[in-house]
Amino acid sequence: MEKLSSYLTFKLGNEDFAANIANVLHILGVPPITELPNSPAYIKGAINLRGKVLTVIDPHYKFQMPSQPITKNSCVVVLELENENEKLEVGALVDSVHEVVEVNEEELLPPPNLGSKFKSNFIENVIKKGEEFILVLNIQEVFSSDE
Amino acid sequence: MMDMDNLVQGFMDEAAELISSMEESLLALEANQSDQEAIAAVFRVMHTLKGSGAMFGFNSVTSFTHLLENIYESIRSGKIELNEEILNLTFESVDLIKNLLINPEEPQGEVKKEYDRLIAIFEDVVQNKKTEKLEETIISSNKIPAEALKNPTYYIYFAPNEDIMKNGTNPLYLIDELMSLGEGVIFVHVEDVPEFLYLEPQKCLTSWDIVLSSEVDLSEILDVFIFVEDDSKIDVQKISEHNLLTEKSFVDQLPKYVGTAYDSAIVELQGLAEEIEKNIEKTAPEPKHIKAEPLSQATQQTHEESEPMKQSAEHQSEQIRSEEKKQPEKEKPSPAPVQLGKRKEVPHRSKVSSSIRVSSEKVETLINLVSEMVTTQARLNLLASEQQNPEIIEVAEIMEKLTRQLRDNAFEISLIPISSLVTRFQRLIRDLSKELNKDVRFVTEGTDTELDKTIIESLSDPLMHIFRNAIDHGFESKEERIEAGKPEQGQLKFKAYYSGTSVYIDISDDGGGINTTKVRQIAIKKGLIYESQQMSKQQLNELIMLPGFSTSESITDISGRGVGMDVVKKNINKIQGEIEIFSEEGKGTTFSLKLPLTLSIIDGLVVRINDIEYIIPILVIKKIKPIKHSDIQKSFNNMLTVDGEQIPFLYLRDKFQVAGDAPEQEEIVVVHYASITMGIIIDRVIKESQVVVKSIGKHFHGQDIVSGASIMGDGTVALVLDTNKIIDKYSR
Amino acid sequence: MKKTILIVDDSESIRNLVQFTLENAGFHVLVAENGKAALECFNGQTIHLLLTDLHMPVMSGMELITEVRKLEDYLYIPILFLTTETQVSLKREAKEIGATGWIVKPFNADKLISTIRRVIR
Repeated sequence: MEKLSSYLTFKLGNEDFAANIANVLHILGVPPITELPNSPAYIKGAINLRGKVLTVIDPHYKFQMPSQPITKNSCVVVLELENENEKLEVGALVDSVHEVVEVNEEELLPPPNLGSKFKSNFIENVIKKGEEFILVLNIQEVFSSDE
Repeated sequence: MMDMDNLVQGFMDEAAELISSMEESLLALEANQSDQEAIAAVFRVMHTLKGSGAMFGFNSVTSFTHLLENIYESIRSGKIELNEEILNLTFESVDLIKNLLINPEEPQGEVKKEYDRLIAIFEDVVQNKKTEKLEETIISSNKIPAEALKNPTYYIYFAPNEDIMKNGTNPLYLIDELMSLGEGVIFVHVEDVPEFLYLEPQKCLTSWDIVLSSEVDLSEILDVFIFVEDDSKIDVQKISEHNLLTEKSFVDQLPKYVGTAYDSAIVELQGLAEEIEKNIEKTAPEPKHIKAEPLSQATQQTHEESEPMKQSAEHQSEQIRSEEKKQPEKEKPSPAPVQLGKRKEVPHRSKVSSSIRVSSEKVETLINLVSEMVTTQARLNLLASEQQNPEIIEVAEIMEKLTRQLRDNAFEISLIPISSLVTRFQRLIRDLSKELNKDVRFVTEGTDTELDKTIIESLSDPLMHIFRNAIDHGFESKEERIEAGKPEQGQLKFKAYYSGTSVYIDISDDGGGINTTKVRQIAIKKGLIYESQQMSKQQLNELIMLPGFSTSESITDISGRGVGMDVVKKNINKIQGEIEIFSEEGKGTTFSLKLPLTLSIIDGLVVRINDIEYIIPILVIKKIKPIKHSDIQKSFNNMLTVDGEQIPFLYLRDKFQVAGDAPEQEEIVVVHYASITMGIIIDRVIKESQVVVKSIGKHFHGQDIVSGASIMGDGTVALVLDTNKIIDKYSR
Repeated sequence: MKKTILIVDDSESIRNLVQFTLENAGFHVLVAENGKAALECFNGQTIHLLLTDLHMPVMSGMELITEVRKLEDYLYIPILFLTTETQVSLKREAKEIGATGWIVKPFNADKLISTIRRVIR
């Protein structure tokens, strides 16, 4: 039996990325972001999510990509992480959101050796859809609070 | 929605509070054994627990507290003197009672042993011959062993005291009650009732003769008069084992006999009864006595029965007439009652206001709703001012006032002072110091600092551990202290205070401090750090909070099995708190905890730098002044003169690395923290606002000049500045 | 019409227990935690019976009974007091100042109700 999992695909710069839908709570348009002074570059700021204060992270920095201006296509993807046995919510600022794809087991490949371009533990898997490759992010690694 | 479980739980909660207050009194008695108020307080707690214990099924609690109640009453009245032994035993008793309260069943095993032991010791110590066996205080109906005969006839003479109605008794109700026990005939005597003109309606001058036939026995009939027997004339006698009212001859003659007597007609009626009975035997055998006995024997039987009855009846009637004694049947099975003195003097409690218990979930829901209301109300304000409609603006203002009051109220409900926690600790510290042979004085400050209840509960364990640590490891032995020139008695200080939107708790000892060399060695040995690692003293101190660390060679029972400081740190972090250790060898150690107020809705000052808004809690602000940018540039050594005073300042544009040019005119907000005053320079003050402070999430924990964030009326996020941390960080 | 009973006791759990028992028996129940609070209930509202503990802070049961008997509107209402004592002197004392009767603690529900029914108007 084929196991199917669903992934949300989005773009950072020119690259396609994906995140397991199980970790995705909401997708929003980008609300006003309050900068947090003296914060590391990858922390974009804080936003109001239905009365809760959410930290927004710009993943571009994690992949040493230049950050992009916010356009009408930009979105904040609210993700749920686990940190020390606690559930944590964090927002990821992406350039655009594409679609939800269903991927069966065969289409899910182990991460390749990408050299020094990306830190390898940021990528959990690679989805092969026809000729395209989509990098599946390891949410825990990318968005946890360490440097 | 009450049910029996809730009620029992309610009792257990109440009992726990009572015990806690009793411990306080005991501690006070340790300091001063002649503290009358404390003695009375202990007595009262024992008395209350005795009464309510059995009501909720905790019979062992009632038995035990009964004993202690007697002892403390004796102490109170001076019959016994309070001494250290009794006091220590009382402390042990408190622990026992706590165990007894765990469940209502009879104690077993260890608890039972302790129960028996303490009871034996108390009885010894007191040598009180008056110690009662526990009275059977439930009113049980003391039935005379039931004779097989049914429906005897009773004669009741009832002449109430003329003032009987003054205590709310209605004699007619008593008569009603009597008659409900069977069937009977009533004769009223109103001869003593004056004419209408002279009638005093509140006086009862009527008396009654009643002949009643009933299944019940004498004691139940006497029971009817239980409240009035002392002051009214009551004569209740059984005049026949049979129901004479079925005999026409009896009924017909009754008025004559009853009418002739003054007071009780018992003698006359007994005569009548005998006669009638004889006749009955002569005419037909009693339906109930279906025996093939010769009639003469039957008569003899009845006659014999009435003999002893007469005797006991006479005995009884003497007793009933007298106002002092009670009938023997009615005496409760108890020896001489303990005279607890005359009117008791009840010590006044300091709180007069009544209070209720509320579940913490309800409070949490309330707080959440209120905070949403505050946020929504800010939006309303914004819309109102945009709409420029004066009526709406007015309503919005009223809403703001109401919201502010509601939030203050709701907030207060959810907070309890930390003193509730501290009392627990006083006991622990006392016990520990005795056990470890360390002379420790426990000092507290700021115990009226209030915290959210759930936080207080989560603090209990970590604080306990810190105390244990201090007493076990922190304080040196008496000899060592004297050698070091310190006072023999060590001081353990607990201090709680607010700062910004956090509560700080400092626990300091004047013990030996943390031996950083030893710590370092152990850490290396346990592989926690490298030998070559350079560590600051602060970092070394905090090594003891790493998991797997322990300086004791043996893990003593006191400090718990393997529960180390790392667990303490984890628990503190769990409630969004922080813990720091400050220590100086030879001088002492301080554990400093920083805790959030879970939900803070504060009055804040909204300020702006560029287009970002920040909030400064109004609490800390001393004054606000406009200031020219040029003055800032001209300043020397980061000091400015404000109102003739030189104060240090912090230029947030610089500190926050804000882009863009500074405006010409800026503002300085002068804040204070402890004894330090500082000015914080921002662009502009916008307004005052109620602000719901929300935690900003873990990602930001590296940044500590911000204590939280808030959602503004327009939905944007503003940052709440922790001015204390700012002062801390930038004033050195 | 339901009869109203006022229970006065400084123990919350006892107040709750009595209230529970009496409400189940069809009475309307008022509560107060000491004599002073109880007195405030005697402000013209209909009370059919007063049930009070004797040992309470601020104002004791004895004082309460004395005060209630001074009020014109409530001169004849039945008053029962709760006590763990069984000695005669206390009962006499309470009776002298106007108590109708007593209930000994601990009591069971039936006894409580039957005693109340005995005296209530």
